[in-house]
Amino acid sequence: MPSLTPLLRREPLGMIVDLRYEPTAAAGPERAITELSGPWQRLFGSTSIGGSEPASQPAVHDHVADSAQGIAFALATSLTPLGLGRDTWAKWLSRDREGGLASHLLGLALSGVLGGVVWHVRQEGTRRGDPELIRPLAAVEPGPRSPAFRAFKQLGRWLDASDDEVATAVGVGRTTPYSWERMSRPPSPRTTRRLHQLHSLVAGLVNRASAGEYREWLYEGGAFRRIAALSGDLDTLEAEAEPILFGQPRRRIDPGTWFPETESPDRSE
Amino acid sequence: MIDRGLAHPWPQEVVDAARRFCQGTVISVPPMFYGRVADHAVWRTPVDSDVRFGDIELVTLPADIPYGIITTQTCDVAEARMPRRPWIQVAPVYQLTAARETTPPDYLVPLPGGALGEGTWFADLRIEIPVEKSILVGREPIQVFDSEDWEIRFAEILGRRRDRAALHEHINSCLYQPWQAKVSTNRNRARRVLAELHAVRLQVETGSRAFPRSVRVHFISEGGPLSEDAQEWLDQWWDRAHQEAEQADPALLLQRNRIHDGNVVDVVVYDTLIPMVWW
Repeated sequence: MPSLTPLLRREPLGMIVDLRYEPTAAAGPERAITELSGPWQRLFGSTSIGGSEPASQPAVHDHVADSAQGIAFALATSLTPLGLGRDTWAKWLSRDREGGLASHLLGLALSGVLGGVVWHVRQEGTRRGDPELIRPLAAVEPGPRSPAFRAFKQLGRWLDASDDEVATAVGVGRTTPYSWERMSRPPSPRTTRRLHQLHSLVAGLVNRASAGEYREWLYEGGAFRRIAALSGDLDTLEAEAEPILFGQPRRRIDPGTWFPETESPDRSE
Repeated sequence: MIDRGLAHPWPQEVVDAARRFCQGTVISVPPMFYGRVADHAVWRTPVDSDVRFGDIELVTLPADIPYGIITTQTCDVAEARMPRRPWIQVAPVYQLTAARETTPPDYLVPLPGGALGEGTWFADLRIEIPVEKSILVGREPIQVFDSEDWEIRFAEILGRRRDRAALHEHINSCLYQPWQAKVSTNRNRARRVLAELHAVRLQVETGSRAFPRSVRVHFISEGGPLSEDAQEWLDQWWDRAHQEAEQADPALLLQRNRIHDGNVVDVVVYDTLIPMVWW
């Protein structure tokens, strides 16, 4: 019986796995999986993994988020951080859940969907001039990237910024991040700190707000927040992000506080 | 509903007796009982119980618990105005049979000796028995706390047990353990840094205490800006904690440290943060 296994073992999946540095993965698998719509949820039984928060929509996903490709992309990027390797995922998908025909149809549908995803990503890469997205699929090597490089590339996407701009924001040369990746060598402690401090902040915003809200926030007021981020001005960016990240402060009653006694509602009885 | 059963007025001897007791007062030979389902009992000391409510049987604790300590808040024990609170809670007080070398668990509160006799006495806060104030009639209050300071400390312990923040284990494993590791790496330097800190407080993204996403640790100085050495020490801790958090859960985002001058800290922000003890 046809199954998805052969397809999922081809390079396109390598591309998808390789792309798990997208914000969806940073937001955590639980949130991404909730992207699945009703029929897909039933098919994949996502309720056992699903979370309650809506998935964040990374910039590169904007074009595909509401389409079947988006769903497949979310699924692929969600399962990888769960520790499901390519083979496991393929095996899981190829389980005969609906008595043969369903599995066959699913295989055909998902084949098309995955192809569409790759096409969309490459289109986006072409539009943005990002070689990471448009290089030949066969050349994409699946496997972990350096955390610093992953953070660097994510920042580029979230801030709609070039490598040059992000590199300036974290105080390194434009090509230095590629050396982190090529040589699997982490950046200096100070650079690591600066990079991850900015990354945590922007990731928190991307996770907290919807794609539309986030972009509106980023570009509002002459894009001064984006400018602050790209100039490494964390103080300004933090002050702006605080209400979104942590909400409005709620007054707490400290232990040991005195307060007047209240009347019993049943007192009149 | 419950108020319908209240006597009006209360028996005067109960009102008078209750006014002689307060939180932290010890009473002798308190009734100690609780309910359980025998088939799934956790506390297995054999008991002889005749009182049942369906499948729940009423169990009495061993009679060798000599004392109980009142945990109900003082104003609720000795009600100044029209009394409406007929019950109080009492926790067992006893001496430990074996000598305890290590720090007692948080539910065992050592009490100052003297009034109870030789040895170290503990209030066991794992169980509090509800009793009616009528049991106070004819009993003598035993005051174990000889100062207001002790009374306040006991109240704080009681309050904290119910009020302490419930946070995800990642706060402990990703934030606190790297902190402890850093402290033990160079205790002298850590001591100098800690001497500059007045408080450490935590900020967690609203609605995510159980599964934290964005968290930020706030450091409040004793007064004045922190030294560069202290700031660098805290940043180094952040580096390690961030790494731990990233590995433990990619959804957990440790935001940059926030350092406040203790002389000019924003009290509105301060009030909203979760105090972290033993940092």
